[in-house]
Amino acid sequence: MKRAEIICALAVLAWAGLMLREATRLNIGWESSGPGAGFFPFWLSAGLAIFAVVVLIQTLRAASSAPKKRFIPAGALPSLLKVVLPIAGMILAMEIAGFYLAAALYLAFVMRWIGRHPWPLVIGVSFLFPLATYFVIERWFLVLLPKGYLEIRLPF
Amino acid sequence: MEALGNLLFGFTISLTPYNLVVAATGVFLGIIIGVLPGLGGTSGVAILLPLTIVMPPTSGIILLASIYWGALFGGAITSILFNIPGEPWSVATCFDGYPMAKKGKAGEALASAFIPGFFASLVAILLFTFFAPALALIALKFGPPEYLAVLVLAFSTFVGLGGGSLPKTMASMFIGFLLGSVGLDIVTGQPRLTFGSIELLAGFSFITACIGLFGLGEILLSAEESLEFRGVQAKVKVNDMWSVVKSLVQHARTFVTGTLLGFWVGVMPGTGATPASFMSYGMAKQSSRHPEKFGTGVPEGVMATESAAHAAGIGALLPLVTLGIPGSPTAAVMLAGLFVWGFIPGPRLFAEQPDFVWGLISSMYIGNLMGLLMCLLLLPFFAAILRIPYAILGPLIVLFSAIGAYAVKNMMLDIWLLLIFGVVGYVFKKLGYPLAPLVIALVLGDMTEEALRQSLIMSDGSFAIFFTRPIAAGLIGVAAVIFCLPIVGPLLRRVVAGLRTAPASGR
Repeated sequence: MKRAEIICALAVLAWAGLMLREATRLNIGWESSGPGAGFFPFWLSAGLAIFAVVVLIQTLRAASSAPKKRFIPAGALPSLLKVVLPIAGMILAMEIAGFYLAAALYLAFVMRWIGRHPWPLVIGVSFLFPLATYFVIERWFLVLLPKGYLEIRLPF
Repeated sequence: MEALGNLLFGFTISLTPYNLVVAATGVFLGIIIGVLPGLGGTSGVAILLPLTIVMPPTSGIILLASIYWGALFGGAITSILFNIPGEPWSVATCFDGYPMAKKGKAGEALASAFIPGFFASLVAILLFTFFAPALALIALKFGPPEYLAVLVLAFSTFVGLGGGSLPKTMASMFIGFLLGSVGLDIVTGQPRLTFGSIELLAGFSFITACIGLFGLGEILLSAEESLEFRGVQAKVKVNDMWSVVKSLVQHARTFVTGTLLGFWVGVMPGTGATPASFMSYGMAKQSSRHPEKFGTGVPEGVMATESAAHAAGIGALLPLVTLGIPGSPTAAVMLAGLFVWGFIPGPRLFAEQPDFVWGLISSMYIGNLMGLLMCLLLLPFFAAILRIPYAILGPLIVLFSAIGAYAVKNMMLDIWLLLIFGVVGYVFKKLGYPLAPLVIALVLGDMTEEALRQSLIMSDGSFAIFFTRPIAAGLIGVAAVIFCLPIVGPLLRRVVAGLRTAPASGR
């Protein structure tokens, strides 16, 4: 837990530093009409960096006698990855093949691989869900869904 | 009495068949969202927000608000029957609700959640109906300095009343402001913090951040627990309802304190129903004649939690409608909705969009009544939703989140950001960085900066303007006091504890 605290505080610090550098490319001072474009980003990232350092110091100074708690409980990492990796894969597939195909593949994969549900159910849900979203979301509510490189060539 | 006339006018809008169907749909979806752990009111409202773009704005806000009311009701079902909180604000409902259910009093426990919850909502909506127009009238006189002061007050409540680690709360808030300042500068029009990316010119989508941090983050958290639902079967009988109504009179004090406390906490920006429910539970326990029985299944425990949560949910919309400042993360999503529908949030809404404001207020009465009826009548159906295996439910929630994130700006980048925000939400939640300051700073960032810059233009760059105008100075003063609470609070508590001979029995 302590190591995770330190890594997280360092990551926040690094991000603040990155934003600080990006902010200094603008005017961080005072213009005739008030603060320049970089004024707030500069001081916000500077402030963030300070608080990240405070968190870091607090964590390092905290008594290490506290009961050791793992950031990710033992044995939970595989089930966590089983959730995260398919999501990442689904988004990647969405870039290439658009929402419908990616959604169907993702549903089928998770239901079959993690849920171990029978094939008829797997095929039924992963076929019906994209179909339902097409009619409800895209036709009824007129909200566009991601189109992949493959789909753009289709006529609808 | 003007409010009564306006309210009646509001009912002519909210009682149209279309809006009634919208409200019923919202409440129904809201209860399902509330029942499902891993899908909270905030992310639920955020996911469905893009679908309201094609609706008239009044129907849109009625839909989103009804989802909120539904989620407030639904959370209790999971807590009581399954001992898993369906929503963060129903965590304290588990403490006494589940032991009651295990003793075979599930029906009474559910009735102790729904009925006081409904009456607390009713009291809160009445307060809202008569208080909101007066507050909006005062707020109409506000200039940019007063606005900035109100915003500072809002942010000070995170620090003063949030209860988390001070540097982590501040870091969270600053991250929100920084993300909010990405995009075109509001005054000079220069691109800021975009790293040369064209897609970032439009800034970060608040909706994406909300769905990611709250929705996906929650799914990742529940992934490591490998949820298994083994619940208690239950039906609410007429007898249960009757005995709860009778005990409501008996525990009137618990109910009234819970409701008023909840409403007040809800109105305070950025806190919302979750802390309200915990505070009310703690107060009911401390003021009870038998505090040792709390946690073993006393109906007052459920009653205190639920009445505060419901009242806070209503209260959270008060500053949203009158000042344009959300009282809770869920209300912050609705604020994003106001922008999407083309409204300028703030006190002028009352004058310029009376049909919108009063349609919303009157729909609160309808939505909460619908919530109560649906929960009582369709309870077995809602409890059955939890028997859908997680391997089907989880991916469906993820896909809906992706649709919600994409629909705002039609950019694939937002779906990737969704995943990143999800991981950030997971890490922050585990390490105790509060998420509410982050999302509210993100949504209010532009408004805060605008208020500050306009004030400085008014005063030719002098900060004295915030201290020479009475209202602004007063508000800044209150904010300063609240801001110092985490430092002064423990000192005070030590003094109080020293004076009292009996040790304070906390949680």
